[in-house]
Amino acid sequence: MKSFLSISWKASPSYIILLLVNALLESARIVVNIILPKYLIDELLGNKDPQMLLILGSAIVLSNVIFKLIENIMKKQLTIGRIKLEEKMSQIMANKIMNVDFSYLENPYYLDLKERAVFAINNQLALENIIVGITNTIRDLITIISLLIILFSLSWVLVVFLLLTIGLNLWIYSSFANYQQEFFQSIIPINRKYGYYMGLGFQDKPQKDIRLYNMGQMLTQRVIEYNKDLMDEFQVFYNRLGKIEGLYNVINVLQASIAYGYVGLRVISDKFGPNISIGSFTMYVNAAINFSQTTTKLGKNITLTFQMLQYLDPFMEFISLPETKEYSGKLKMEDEIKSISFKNVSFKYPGSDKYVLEDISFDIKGGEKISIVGLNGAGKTTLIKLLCRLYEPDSGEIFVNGHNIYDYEYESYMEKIAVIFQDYKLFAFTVGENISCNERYKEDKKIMDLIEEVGLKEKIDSLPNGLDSLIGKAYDDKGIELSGGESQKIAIARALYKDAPLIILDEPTSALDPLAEAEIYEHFNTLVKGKTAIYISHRMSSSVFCDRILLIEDGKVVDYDSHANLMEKKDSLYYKLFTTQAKNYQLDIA
Amino acid sequence: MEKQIKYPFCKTINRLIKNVNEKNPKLYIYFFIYTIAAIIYPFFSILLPKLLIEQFSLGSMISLKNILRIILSFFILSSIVGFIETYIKSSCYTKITALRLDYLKDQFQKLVEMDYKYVEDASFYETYDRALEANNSNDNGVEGVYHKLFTTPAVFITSILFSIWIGRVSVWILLSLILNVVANLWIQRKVNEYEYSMKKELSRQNRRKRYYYETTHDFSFGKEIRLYNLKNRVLENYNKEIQKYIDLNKLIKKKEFTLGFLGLFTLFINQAALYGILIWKVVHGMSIADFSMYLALILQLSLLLNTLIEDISFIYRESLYVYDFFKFLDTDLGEVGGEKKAIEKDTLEIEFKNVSFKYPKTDNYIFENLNFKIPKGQRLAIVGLNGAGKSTLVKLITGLYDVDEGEILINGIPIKDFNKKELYSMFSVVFQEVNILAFTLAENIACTSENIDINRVYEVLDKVGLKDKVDSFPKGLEQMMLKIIDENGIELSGGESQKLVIARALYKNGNMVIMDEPTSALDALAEAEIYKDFSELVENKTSIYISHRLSSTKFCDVIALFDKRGLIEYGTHEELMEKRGEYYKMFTIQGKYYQEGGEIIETA
Repeated sequence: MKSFLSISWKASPSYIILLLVNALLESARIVVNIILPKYLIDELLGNKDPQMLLILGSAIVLSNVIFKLIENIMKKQLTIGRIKLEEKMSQIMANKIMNVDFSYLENPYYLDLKERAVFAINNQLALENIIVGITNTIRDLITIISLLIILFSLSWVLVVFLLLTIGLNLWIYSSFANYQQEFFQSIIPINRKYGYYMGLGFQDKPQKDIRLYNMGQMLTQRVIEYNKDLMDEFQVFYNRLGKIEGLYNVINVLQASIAYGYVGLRVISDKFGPNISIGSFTMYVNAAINFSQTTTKLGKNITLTFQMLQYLDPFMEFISLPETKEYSGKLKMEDEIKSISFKNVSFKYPGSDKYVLEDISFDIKGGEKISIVGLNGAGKTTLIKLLCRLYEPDSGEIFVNGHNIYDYEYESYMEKIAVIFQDYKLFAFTVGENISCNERYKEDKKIMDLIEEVGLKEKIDSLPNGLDSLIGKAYDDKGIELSGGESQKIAIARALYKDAPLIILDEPTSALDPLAEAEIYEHFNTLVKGKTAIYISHRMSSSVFCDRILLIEDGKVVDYDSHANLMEKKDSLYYKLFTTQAKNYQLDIA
Repeated sequence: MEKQIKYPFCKTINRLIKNVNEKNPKLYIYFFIYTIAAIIYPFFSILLPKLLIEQFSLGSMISLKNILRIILSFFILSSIVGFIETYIKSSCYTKITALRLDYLKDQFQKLVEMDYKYVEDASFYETYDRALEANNSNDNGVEGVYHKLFTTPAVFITSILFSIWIGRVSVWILLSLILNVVANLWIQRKVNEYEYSMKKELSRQNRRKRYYYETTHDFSFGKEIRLYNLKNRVLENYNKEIQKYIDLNKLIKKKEFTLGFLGLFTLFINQAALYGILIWKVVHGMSIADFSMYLALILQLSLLLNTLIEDISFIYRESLYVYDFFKFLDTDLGEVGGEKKAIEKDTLEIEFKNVSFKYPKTDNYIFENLNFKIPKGQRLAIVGLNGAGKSTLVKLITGLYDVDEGEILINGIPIKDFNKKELYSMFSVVFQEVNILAFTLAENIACTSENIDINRVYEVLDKVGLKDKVDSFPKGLEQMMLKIIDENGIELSGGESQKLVIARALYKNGNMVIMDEPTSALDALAEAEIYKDFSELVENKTSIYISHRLSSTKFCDVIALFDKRGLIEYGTHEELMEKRGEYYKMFTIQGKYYQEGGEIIETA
C-alpha cells in the first residue's frame, strides 16, 4: 500500500492534492446540508421573520448551487487527472521493461508476472478503483469526524450507541473479509486462463489451423466450461455477499431507529439533557444517520481498496525488479576488433539446472568470419547473447581485444556490435528510421547504398513515400506491409548501417528465397569487408564462405576448423549435417 | 462531424429482454420482488420523521408509547424490506453476468468460425470495434445495460410516485425540478454528440498510443531496443502519443464543463422555487412535519431523477454497443459456404481455371489468369521467390480465401459448392508457424476433446518419432501443453513441435496434404527427418510441398515455379534443369556452396 502511494505521488502529485481537496469539499457539502436546515426550521417554528427567512433560504439555495459548481470543476480536473495517472503507470511499466536486466525478459515467470500486472490495470480497472476507494475513504473520514463533533454537542450517549452498532457492523464485515480475500485470490488464475482461451479468438496466428483442423468446437467447449465454472463460483460468493449486505442494512436501520428514538426523547423530555428544538431534532437525526451510513461505507471502501491493492501486487512486484546492473566498466571500445576470446565460459539460464554452455573456449582473430553450427538447442544463440552482454556467464570470461567485455563502458561496447537475431523486430517507424535507428537520415547516401546492396531498391522505389513510408499497419493504417523477405532485408540493412566492427547474424536469410539469399551471400564478403563476423545458420552452405566453423554439440565445443578440414572427418556431426543437405543438390552431370 | 448514430434502441432492448426469456426466466421473479421492495423502501424513511414530528407537535398529548410504536414498526418493516432488496440484488448480479458470458461465448464461436479473410483484414476489427467491446466488462456494454435494466424500473416508478405526491403540494416545484432534470439531459446529449464527433480522432490516437504501449510492453522487442539503443526514442514517442490523447480528452471535458453552466442555472431556479414556495406555505399554515417531509421528499426525488437520467443515458449509450454486437452476430460472415460434402475415399485433383486474386483492399494482383492442374496422387513442389504468392496458393486451394475471377475445381466440382467445414476437412496442412494450444497432447493432435481415437494418436506419434518423448511425460497423452494453464505443462523444442503438427496432419488423414515451409527453423538433421516423414504422411495422396529450399524438390514428382508474374515454369526436376531457365538458376545458386567440398566459385 505504501509503495503504491509513493509511486502515485511521484507520478502525479497535483492529482493527489486535487483528490484530497475534493474529499474535503465533499465533506463540507454534507455537513453544510445538515446544519443549515436546522436554523431555517427553528426560525419557521419561531419568529417567522421574513428577512431572516429570506437570508436563510437564500443561504441554502446558494450553497447548493456553489457546491454544484465546485463539483463540475472537480469532475473536469479529476477525470483528466485520473487518465494522466493511468498513463503514467503504463509509462512506468514501459520504462521498467526497457531498463530491466535482459534475463527477466526471457524468463516465463516474469512474462507471466507482467501479464498479471497489466491485466489488473486494464481489465479490472484496479488503479481506478483504488483511487476512487482511497478518495472516498478520506472523504468519509473527514465527514465522520465533523459529524462526530456535531453529535457530541448533543450527547455522548448517542455516540456510544452508534459506535456499538458500528462495531457490530465491522465485526460482521471482517469475518466476511477473509472469505472475500481468499475468494478473489482463487479467482485470479481462473480469470487469466479464461483470458487465454478467449484471447485465442483474437490472435491471428492460430486462425488458419483452427479452421483447417476444425478446432472451433473444442475451443468453444472449453469456453463454455470455464463460463460455467466461473459462474458457479461467483454465485456462491454473491449469495453470501447478499446476506452480509442485507445484514448491514438491518444494522443501518437499527442505527436510524436508535437515532430517532434517542433524539426524539430529547425533544419531549428533559431527563437526559436540555430539551432540544424540532430544528435541532432534524439536524441531529440527519447527522446520526449520515454518520452511520458513512461509517459503513468507510468499511466497505477500505475492504474494496485493499482487495484492489492485491490485484496490483504483480504490478508492484514487477516495478521493483532490479534494473540492469550498473557496471563500473569505464574503458572505451576501440574501433577495431583485434581478437575475441571465450575462456572456460559456462552458462545456464536462470531457473534451469541444465548448462546450455559448458566450458566453452575458443578464439576469433580480428577480421575473421566465423560460422557457428550445431543442432537446434545446442546453444548457438545463447553464445551470441552472452557476447552481446544480454546475459552474464556463470563462470569463465569473455575477452575482446584482451579486455573482459564487462570492463568496457556499456554504451561504448554496444556501439561496436551490430546484430540481427532470428526473431528480429521492426518498428512502426519509417523505413529510413528502421535502418538508421535515428530520426535524421534525409541526406543519407549510406542508406540508399545499403538498400541497393540488400536488394530492396526496386521495392523502395515503388513506394509512394519511398524511405519515408511507415512500416506496418498497427500504428497507422497508411503504413505498408512488407513480406517476410523484405522485412528481413531491412533488418540486415539496419545491422550493416551501424557499421560496427563486429557483426553477428543469426539465421539472417531464413525467410529469403534462393536468389535473394544468394545475393546476400555474394555480397557478404563486400558487406562485411574488414569486419569480424559471426554467422549462424542451418543452411550449411553458408559455412563454406566463412574462414572457420565452430561446431557446438550439447553445449560444448566439439570442433573449430575450416570447412575443408572438417569435411575430412567423415564421422563428425559436421560432415553428417553438410552431406545431408548437400546430397539434395547433387547435380546430375548433364 | 458525424451526427449521433440513430439506431433501433427499442428493438435492441427488446432482444436483450427476449434473451432473458430463453436463458433464465426465473430472473423475472427476482426482478419483480426486487422492484417491489425497492419501491417501498424509500417511503419508510420519508414518512418516519413526519410521523414523529407530528407526535412532538401534540404538546401535552404526547404519548411515549405511540412514539415507540412508530419507531419499532419502522425498524421491523424497513429491515425486512431492505434485506430482501439487498439480497436479491446481489444474488442476481451473478445471474446477469452469466448472460454476458453466454454472449461472449457466441462471439467467440463466431470469431473462430468466420471466413478467414476477415482475420487478416484490419478494417474488420475497426468496423466491429464496438461490437467486440460490448461483452468485455461487468460494468459496461451488455452486462452494464442488463444491470441497469434490473434496477432502473424501480427508480422510475418511485420517481413517478414521488412526483405525483409533490405535484399535489405544488406544481411549480415539480416543474422546476423537471426543468433541471431536462437541462441535465440535454447537456449529456450534447456532450455525447461532441464526443462522438471526435470518435475518429480519438480512436486513431488511441490506436497509436496502443501501438507504443504494445511495443514497450512486449518483451520480444527487448533485444532490439537494447542493441540498437532505441529506448529513449521509443519512450519519447510513447509520451508524445499519450499527451495527444490527453489533449483530446481535455477538449471533451472542457465542453462538458462549459455546458454545465446551463445546469447550474436551472438548479438555481429549482432550488429557489423549492425553498421559496415551501417557506411561504409554512408561513401560511403548513405544518413543520409536512415541511420536513417535503424537503426530504424533494431531496430524494432529485437524487432519484438524477440517477434515473444517468441510468437512461447510460442505457442509451451502451445499447449502441449492444446493437453493434447483435449486428455482428447476425451478419453472415461466410461461415457456412455451399452444400457439397467432402469427397470420400479418394484423393483430390485440383484445377485452377483462369484464376485471378488479390487481397481485399489492395491493388496488387497476386495471380492473374492462373491456369494449372494438379492430378490425383501427384507430389507437387511449389517453389518461387518471395512475394510470388506461394502461401496465398495454399489459402486459395484450402478455401480460406475466395478467388476474385475464374474458379478452382476439386475433382471437377467448383470449390464454392462445398460446405466450408467439409472443404476444410479434406486437407491436412502443415504450416511454417507451429500452433500448439494449451490443451492436452491428445487434444492437440486430434483437435477435439471427444471421441479421441487413442490408438490412432499413438500410431501417428510413433510415425513422426515422438512416441518415446510422449512416454516420458508423467501424464502421457493427457499431459497439458504450454505453461499458461498448467505450470507443469510441456514446452516442446522447435523440431519436436514441428513433428507434433505433422502428427496432427497425419491423424486428420485428409484427402490431400499440403506442407508450407515446415523446415525453415530446423537444423539439417531434423529437416531430413521431416523429409522422410513426408513420404509417410503422403502415401498416395495428392500433395504439395512449398519451400524455398529446392532440396525438397527431390522427392516430388513435379515442380511449379512461381514468381511475380505467375506460374513461369512447370515440369520435373530433370526437365527444368535442362531448360536452363529460372529454376536451373535458383537450383545451381542454392546448391553452389554445397558442390564438391565447397570451394567458393567466384562469379563475375
